[in-house]
Amino acid sequence: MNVFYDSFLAMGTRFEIVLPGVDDAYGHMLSREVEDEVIRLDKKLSRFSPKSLVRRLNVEAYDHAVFLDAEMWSLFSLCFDYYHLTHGAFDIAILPLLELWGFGQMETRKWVKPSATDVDACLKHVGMQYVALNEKERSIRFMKSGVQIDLGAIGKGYALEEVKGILQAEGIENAFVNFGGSSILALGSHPYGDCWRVGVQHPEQAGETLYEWELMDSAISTSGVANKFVAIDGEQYGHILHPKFGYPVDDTGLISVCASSAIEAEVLSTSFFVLDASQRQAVLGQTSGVRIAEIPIGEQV
Amino acid sequence: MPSVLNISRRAFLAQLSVFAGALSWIPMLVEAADRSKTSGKVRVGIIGVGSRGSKLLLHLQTIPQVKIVAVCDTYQPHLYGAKKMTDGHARTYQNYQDLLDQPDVDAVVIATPPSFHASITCDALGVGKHVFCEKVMALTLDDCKKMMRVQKETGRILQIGFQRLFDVRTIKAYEAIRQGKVGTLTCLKTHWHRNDSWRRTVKDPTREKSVNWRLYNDASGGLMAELASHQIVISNWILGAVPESVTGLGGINYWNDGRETHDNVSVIFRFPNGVLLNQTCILSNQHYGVVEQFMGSKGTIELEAGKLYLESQEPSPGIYQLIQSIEEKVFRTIPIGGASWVLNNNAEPKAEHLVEGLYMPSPTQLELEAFVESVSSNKLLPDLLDQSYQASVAVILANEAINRGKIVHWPQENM
Repeated sequence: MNVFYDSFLAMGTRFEIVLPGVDDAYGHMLSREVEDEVIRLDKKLSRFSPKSLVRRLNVEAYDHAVFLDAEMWSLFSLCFDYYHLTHGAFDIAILPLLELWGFGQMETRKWVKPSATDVDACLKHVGMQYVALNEKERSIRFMKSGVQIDLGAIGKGYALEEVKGILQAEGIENAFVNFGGSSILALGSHPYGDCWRVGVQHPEQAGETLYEWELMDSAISTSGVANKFVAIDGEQYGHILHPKFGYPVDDTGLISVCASSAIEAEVLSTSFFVLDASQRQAVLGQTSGVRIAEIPIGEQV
Repeated sequence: MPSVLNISRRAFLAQLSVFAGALSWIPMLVEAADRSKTSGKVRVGIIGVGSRGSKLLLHLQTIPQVKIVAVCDTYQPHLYGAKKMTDGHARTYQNYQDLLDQPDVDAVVIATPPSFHASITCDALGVGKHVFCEKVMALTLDDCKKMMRVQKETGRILQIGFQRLFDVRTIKAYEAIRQGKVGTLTCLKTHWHRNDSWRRTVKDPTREKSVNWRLYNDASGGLMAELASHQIVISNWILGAVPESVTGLGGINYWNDGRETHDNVSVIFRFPNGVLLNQTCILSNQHYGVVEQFMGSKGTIELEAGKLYLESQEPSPGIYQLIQSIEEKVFRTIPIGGASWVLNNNAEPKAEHLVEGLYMPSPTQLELEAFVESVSSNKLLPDLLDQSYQASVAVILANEAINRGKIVHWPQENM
């Protein structure tokens, strides 16, 4: 059986696609279609891309309302649904806080712990309560100066859902897509199994599987701060910030979420990292078909 | 693996027309192969039977439905030589107008210096002849436009001799690029390097300009027209665009023998999306020879070598294990996440051959067969004339950029 494989870089990481039983010519055609779509979304959603919609919103949306196309309208509506569902744990307007801590661009590598006063001041323009959607006009507006958004916590999931649509429209039944290791889309099953079996690896110890998922037409997203600590004044901080308190979440484990929608898996894995166990259960109670794996990791590095 | 050596010519051509929508002139070749036994004769006159013209004559003679009835040249020895090649059947003319007056000439092949292309082509089309004219179309924008206009007005066939559009490697490269094999094309580089003077010995000094026409600006577009144009036409076609602008430099740094045209040029064409085509042509070193490199985000095509190199695309370790498990037909867990992996950059680049087997029909033969088919069916080969026009215009702009030391922009189109 021919196994078609292709990869490309997008959204700051590597996108890999495996199509069992697909010949190379057809595979290249499909993967080109997939790549075009993911790159299109990257350009539209990235806050770094100079012509992106997100960049435009961050520059203009406080001064005046910005009209949204159908795609962005439904994406922002979805963001609000998840903001409400997770009681604010999922928040696209957290960017000023990320930048205050220096986590906006991890490569800067110069971290200074912000003072409590700075954090409090920053929190005054952090949060989706300061973002307003106008349903009639299909426009978006920031209600406070300094509000900034970032779609990093939903972008890859949204892209994977689009990819799923492309593959299904082309009649592809079995596919395995790895978007940077943290986001997976698994359609159908392994050609020699009844599902796709995925082992979440220990972030430090090669070959050690911490949790095993059985996937079929579903997606997983794994969040965690392991391996991504930031040292400030001799202390270790994770890179995931609590949008309400303004400080890094003190948890060293991994949270992996499986859902039929890649968007839901993506959104919930980050949100669950911020929520405690009972809050997680409350959110799970309002969803269907979502599975969660809370994976503790022994010791902090 | 079946070698193309063993498959028929028609099947070979049919195989090329998989991408018929894009390679719109290839299906005509298949028709030509089918028709060759049945259709009536196409009576051809050749204007200019020097080295290129007599080569075209020999190619044309192998096409069953072609009859060469007339040849024309201002130089008697060429004329006799050509007549001899037709076993004395072709009538000879020293003035092309006399050849055009012959009612039994259906089509003419023009292989004169390019400064004569426009006038002879327009005169021939004007009296109802079909025309195959060697590249480049002409040396001025006005002449190129005039040729396009007269072709439209007369409805006769006009084909320009950019034979590399009929090169199997080019067609395969086009196909591979359209399939996304090299990712997004970002950079094109071509060389055409020779180590010879381009000068021919002339015994009769009055014939210097007609023999060594390539060396004089009023008759020749120099290196850009004679060599680089073949690579420009492919670049335009493969990118599906015309250049937005061009800049370049040139000069004479070795063959300083009284010639006017440059012996070395370097030009840069800018295409849409910021894609640059970088070209050099020299006449003083042949080490790099003829090279076309089409570089994309996922791979590189070396056209002349017929090779495709993929960028290192090793799957990440977990995906590598997944692919292995499918190939071994076993169901295993896919390890995902974990310690970061390092890309292996030491791997030797692997080359794929664009064309399998050794059989490569001559591009010149194919373009002439296509022309004959085009005449027989009275159908222009789709897109081909536009491609030829655009490449010829690009040459003119490049020469203008070199001569004026400026960036020259693609002209606003008004035919």
